[in-house]
Amino acid sequence: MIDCKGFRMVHIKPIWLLMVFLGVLATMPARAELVIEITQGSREAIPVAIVPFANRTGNALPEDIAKIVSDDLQRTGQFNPLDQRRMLSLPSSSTEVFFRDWRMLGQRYLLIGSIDPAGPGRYQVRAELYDVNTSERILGEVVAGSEKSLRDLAHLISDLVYEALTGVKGVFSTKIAYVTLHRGANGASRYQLEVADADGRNANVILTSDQPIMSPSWSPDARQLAYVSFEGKRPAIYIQEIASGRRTKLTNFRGLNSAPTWSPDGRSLAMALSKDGNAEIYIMDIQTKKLERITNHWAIDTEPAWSPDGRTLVFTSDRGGGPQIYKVDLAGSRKETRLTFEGNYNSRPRFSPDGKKLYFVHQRAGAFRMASMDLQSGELSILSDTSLDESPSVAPNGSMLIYGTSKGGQGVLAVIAVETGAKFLLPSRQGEVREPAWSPFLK
Amino acid sequence: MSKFKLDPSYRKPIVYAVLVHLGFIGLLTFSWPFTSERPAAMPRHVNAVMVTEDMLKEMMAQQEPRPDPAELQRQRDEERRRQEQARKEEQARKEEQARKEEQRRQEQERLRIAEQKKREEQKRREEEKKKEQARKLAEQKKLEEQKRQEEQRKREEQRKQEERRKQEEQRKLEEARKKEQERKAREERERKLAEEARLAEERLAQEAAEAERRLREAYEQEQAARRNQQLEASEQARYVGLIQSAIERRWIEPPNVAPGTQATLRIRLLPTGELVSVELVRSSGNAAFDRSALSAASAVNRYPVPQGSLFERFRVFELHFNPKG
Amino acid sequence: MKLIDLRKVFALSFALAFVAGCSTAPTDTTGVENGGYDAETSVGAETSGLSAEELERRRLEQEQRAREGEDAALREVRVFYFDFDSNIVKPEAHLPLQAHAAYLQANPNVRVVLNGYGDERGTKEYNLALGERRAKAVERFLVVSGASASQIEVVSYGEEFPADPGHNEEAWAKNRRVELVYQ
Repeated sequence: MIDCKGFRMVHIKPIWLLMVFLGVLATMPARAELVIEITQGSREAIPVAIVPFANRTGNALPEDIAKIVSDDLQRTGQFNPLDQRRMLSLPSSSTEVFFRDWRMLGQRYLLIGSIDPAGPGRYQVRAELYDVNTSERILGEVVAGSEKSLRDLAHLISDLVYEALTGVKGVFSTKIAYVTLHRGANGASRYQLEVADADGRNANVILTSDQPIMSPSWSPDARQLAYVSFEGKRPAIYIQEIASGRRTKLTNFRGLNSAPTWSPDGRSLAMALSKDGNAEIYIMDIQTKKLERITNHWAIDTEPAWSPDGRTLVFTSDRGGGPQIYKVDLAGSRKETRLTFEGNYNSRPRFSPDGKKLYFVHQRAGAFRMASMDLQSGELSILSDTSLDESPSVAPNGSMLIYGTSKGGQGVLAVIAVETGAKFLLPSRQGEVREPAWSPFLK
Repeated sequence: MSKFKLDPSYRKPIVYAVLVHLGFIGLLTFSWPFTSERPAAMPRHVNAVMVTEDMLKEMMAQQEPRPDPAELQRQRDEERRRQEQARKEEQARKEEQARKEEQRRQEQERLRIAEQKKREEQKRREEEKKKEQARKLAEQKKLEEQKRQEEQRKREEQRKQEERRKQEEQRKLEEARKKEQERKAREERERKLAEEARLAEERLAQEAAEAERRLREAYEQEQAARRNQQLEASEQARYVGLIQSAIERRWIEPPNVAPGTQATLRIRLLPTGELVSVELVRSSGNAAFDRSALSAASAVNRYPVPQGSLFERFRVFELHFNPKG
Repeated sequence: MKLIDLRKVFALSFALAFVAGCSTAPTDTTGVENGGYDAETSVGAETSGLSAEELERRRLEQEQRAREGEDAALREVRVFYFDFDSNIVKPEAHLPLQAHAAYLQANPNVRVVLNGYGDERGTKEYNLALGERRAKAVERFLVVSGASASQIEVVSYGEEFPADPGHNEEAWAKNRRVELVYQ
């Protein structure tokens, strides 16, 4: 006999089937949020609009702050400032900004500002940096200074903008030292050691001489310069405090006294002396004047430079037949190792601030060019397109290289932006300019 | 829960159900082998032509050798011979013809005699047949007579039996009636059960069918869903690529970025492709890098997005900035 | 580098034989000495590479010319030129240098400064050392030719004070020089 309960078993079957159906649905993939990978962009110059700052001082100002900032940023090759003539409006405060206008012009960032009086002979400069597409304010700075310091204030704003948009500290407020030569009508020569802003403006003469001045080198605190002077008709190494002009004659040996470079800890100078027969590298303790001999070879050893950690010296030596670059570990065995193997002439090395690259002069096809070498891979790259290059010096953020070269038969200073390859010449002047040295960051 | 007894009336529906399941599964996995070959049968076609003796002679005559032009004398001799031969042949032919005539006459005579014979033969056979038929008929009648008598005898017996039986029947009828009542009652119950079983069976079959339908539907849905998924996936991939290139064109990478630096943004869009918001969800630790990513994502005026339901995947998504090399 | 000059002693004693009755005759040395450089370097050879006999012969010729007063003319030659990246004293410099050396030897209070120079190509401080090497090559020649090292000073100016400010091979050749300046 069948009882009623037997029928219930029959009813379970559709439920089983429903569970199977749901199970099928469950095996379908769960819907996670879509993630799109972006693996590369471009290295083009960032379009940025730098609007002329509003002058609310009531006086004509000797400097155009927006133009200084614009030139600073453009020289790095990483920014493409908008031509002022294309600006549809000239806002100086956030309420005047129509972001859509700047967006239409393809600008990514907008710098606006104003200059207001801040007491007698003092000005207050306000600058604001905006992201055009998000309308976000990235920077808002107010800096004050005298009328004379307007250029410095502009460079400071350039530093802030540069660092905000690249993550790298700007060098627009650093200095350069260099030597100039005027040949008078009567054949007399006038040499000058000068210190100027990084853009070559505001030059101050540190030393004047009718005999050659050579090889300026900055102390790490940027307060002193070491250099070679022939004022005694013989070369000697001096150090001079820039602010006070106070000088000290450090060396006066027979023969060469040349190529002084300051150690990163500021306590010694590496130099090339030939007092013991031929050009060799020595380190002198500035306090004690004690000398430590580093090389001992019948060949020429000169042009020493310090690694950023102070543990290695690189220098030029022609022990291999022609000038090549060698290094010596000061901390260890003092073994001298050759670094350059490409070409017949490599000299005057300088380290990049991160210690990973060397910059030097490399001869190729008769031309003497600025070159860099990656110390890890040994790969050599030619950087300049000029052909009588010498005396490279690296900016303290590693992004720029300044060196001496010849243009129109005259000595001039040239700058290369390392990352972008952008090049420019410092404004030319009367006479020859040579032997530039880029200062450290000023404190 | 009471015990579930497998009533024999359940066997059929269960088996039926299982078979339906198996059958359907089989249908779904295997396909009918629809191969029916019909070999074409061609009738043999033969053309036959009758060739008579005359035609044969004609064909042979047409194959006579051609005369040789070089020897005229031979020809003349030939000609004389031929003429002689012709005469001979003529004669022969005439003789032949006469002979043939004679032959034909003899043939015809023979045929006539044969015909006659045939006719006589036929007549004789027909007469025989008639005799036979008459004899059979007489026999048949005799048999029928016999049968009738038999039947009569039987009927008599039957009547007697019938009488006896009827009496029995009367007696049995009483019994049967009783039994009948009982049986009817039982049958009624059984019918009810059978009815219910049938209903149950029907329901089962219905449910089985229903389940089959649902399963089939689910399967088809799954197939359709899978196809849709594939289409969607390729459409999606296309739009992902468009968005990637739109961003990469606008992303200005900052210099000197340490390897492994990465940042993630969350993008919200309208169905028109316009930006609702861009937010940094995972910083790279490098403010300039973050800024460059935000700038790139914000610089896109209109994101390329699909229409319809596929847009939902793009309503909110992440951009992962992860420069290689 | 101090020169152990045995041959000079020998030559002096040889010359002493001629002292009687003769006016001051410049003594000369035979033989040539290398400076501190090893012979294996192509950069190193800074002497004339002449044999002892050859030098002796020239000394005798020199004596003659001195008597004829050609020395003075020779001593007018104060600039000596060099090939690129080389500090080898050229043959045309030998006679004038010997004349200078003779004069120096004869006048021990006289001092000279040898100014070394190079052309503008390459880097400044390396060129300074090259200029010194050239000047030192001339110094050695003078000392070997009889002058005293204490009379000679060497100062290199490297690329400074080019004789020809041009930027071509001709100008460069003129700038690769050592100048002898009497104090």
